[in-house]
Amino acid sequence: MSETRPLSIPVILGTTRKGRMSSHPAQFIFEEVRNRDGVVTELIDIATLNLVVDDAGEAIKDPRFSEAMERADAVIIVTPEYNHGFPGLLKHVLDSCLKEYIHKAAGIVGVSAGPFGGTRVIENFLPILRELGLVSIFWDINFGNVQKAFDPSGRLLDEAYVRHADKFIGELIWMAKVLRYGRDQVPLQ
Amino acid sequence: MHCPECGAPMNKHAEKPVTLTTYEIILAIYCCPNCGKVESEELNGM
Repeated sequence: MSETRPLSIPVILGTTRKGRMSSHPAQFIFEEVRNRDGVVTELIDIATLNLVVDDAGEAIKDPRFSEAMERADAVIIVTPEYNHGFPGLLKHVLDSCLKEYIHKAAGIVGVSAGPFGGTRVIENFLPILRELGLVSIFWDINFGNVQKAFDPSGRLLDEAYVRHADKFIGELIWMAKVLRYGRDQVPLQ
Repeated sequence: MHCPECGAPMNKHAEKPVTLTTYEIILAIYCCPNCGKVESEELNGM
């Protein structure tokens, strides 16, 4: 394994809805990842990607997104829960890649205006991660009542999320290191 | 397979079944241990 190459862990903001409340949690987790030694990150807002909607799958790759996924050792997906599911455009974006994801780690940050913090959308997400070749971790972050977790400027109001994010990121980094070693060094028998 | 970016030998670490619109294939997935480049190639279907 190349020790000189830092881990790459991009954060995907998975909604394009106007007035979206997921942008504050995405910015928060992005800053927490950026503060880790040996890790590089970027915030990918799916609203800024150039993906057509009259086709789907790998035929419509956005170079910025697919190159970020290729560089990635792990991804963090910040998703709201809309009607118990995740945004269709987030699935549309994720479906534009495949080989770029395989044997890489994934963590999910759920966001909801209600009390459950996206627990239902996270459960719905797990089989999709598996089919994409991503390896999910057992820590999530649940931003329930998100409108109370941040002030209008995006300042975090509940410091408990800092401790939770620390555990979540720590587990994701461990999985990312292990899977990088496997991708680099362990041949398929 | 050798990395198209840096020339290092790539590690084949996965074979992923993929169902396309009309048929199923297996993708062999390779990783470059030097630069992280990802490559794939289609194998015969099962």
